[in-house]
Amino acid sequence: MKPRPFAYRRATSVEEACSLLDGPVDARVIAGGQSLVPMMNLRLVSPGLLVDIGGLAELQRVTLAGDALHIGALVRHRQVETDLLVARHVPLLASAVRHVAHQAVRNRGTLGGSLCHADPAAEFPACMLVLEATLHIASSGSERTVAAGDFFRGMFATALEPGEMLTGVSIPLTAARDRAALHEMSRRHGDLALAGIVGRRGQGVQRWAAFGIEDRAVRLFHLETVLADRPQAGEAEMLAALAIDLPSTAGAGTAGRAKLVIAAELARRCREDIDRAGVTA
Amino acid sequence: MSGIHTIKFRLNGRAVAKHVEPRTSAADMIRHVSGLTGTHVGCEHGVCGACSIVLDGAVVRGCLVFAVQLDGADVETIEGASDSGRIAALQAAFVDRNALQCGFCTPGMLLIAAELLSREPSPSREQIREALSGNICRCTGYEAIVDAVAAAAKVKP
Repeated sequence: MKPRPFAYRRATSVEEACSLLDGPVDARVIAGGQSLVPMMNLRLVSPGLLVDIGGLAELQRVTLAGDALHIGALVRHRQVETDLLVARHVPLLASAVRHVAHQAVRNRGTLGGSLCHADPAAEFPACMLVLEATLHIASSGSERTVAAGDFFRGMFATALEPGEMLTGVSIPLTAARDRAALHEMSRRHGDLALAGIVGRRGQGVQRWAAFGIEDRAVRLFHLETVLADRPQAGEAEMLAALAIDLPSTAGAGTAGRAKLVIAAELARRCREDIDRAGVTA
Repeated sequence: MSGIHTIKFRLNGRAVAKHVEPRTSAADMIRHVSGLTGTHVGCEHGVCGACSIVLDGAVVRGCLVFAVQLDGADVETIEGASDSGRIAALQAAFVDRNALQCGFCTPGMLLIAAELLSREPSPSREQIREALSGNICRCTGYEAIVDAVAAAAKVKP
């Protein structure tokens, strides 16, 4: 199908983009468009104004800033896949991107777009949770930061307020350098995950998250506690923790139970990868 | 309220200017305004890959880019790729191996396969399958297409 008519403006600065977003019309940011445009074509969303931030070069960079790796919101999946700084400092993201859609979509889709779209089955939101990333948000005349743990609010819902846009993420290098792994189950390669788990283990640190299971990417605090106490906890123990961390799935009958079993197996595979990887730097 | 935008971009090496509504997809503009019908429109939501075009050097879905976003860009369609000869080895291999029947998916298959070979000159069958996984073919069962890409990789200089 074709989208409903809309107005289009190409922003030449973050400031201009924010002021356009702040207007009376129902405005949406378009970056890579790989999630927004399908939804517009299917008429699931029909914004009155698209603010195209695709030309903002300052949002397309990956830079080391102090003790964090900063990734601009417009960095494309393909760049995450091939960028030397990402490969060196956050190999988790470079490996996660191989699960995202297909080559042509990765050529165009952006990291920031994936985070703002907040698909419950997307890989990057869960990665941001375990990496304890900070999200940088701009609006007319001001900026703020939000911890990844506070950003994802539900299916396609984030902490972004009207008139705000994501400009990038900062990933602390200490977190980025820990051993980490991601596993997911999908029907075909590149399809959205039916269930996915991502884990990170550092010095005395366990950070785990699930995606494709609840209505958003979810931190698995109970699993973290169990694994911190007993790194080689058995399947039953991990299942019990997951049932607490993923309450609406645990309460969803046989199908929910099946998802928890899958999640426990994916967590076991992540742990196996983390055990095997040695100290990655 | 949507208005008409004038865009200037390069299409298969030639500078062009077009007038477009914001909601017109790049694929529709290329087909209906520029008359280049090798770019096919299948699902219109990014699943099938038939509308593939090369935008600033990377293969993208023509249905997931609005024409108005092409202002200032460099666009190559299957016609440009074919006329330039850069995919000739792939085309010959597709013919040799009967890697197409109806031909609807073929332009997209050729463009994504060419991108794969430019990134990875000697891909494994697994890599070929992964690269083609975003392009749907309802005729061939894919085996012949994978064979053709593998064969083209061998003849490429």
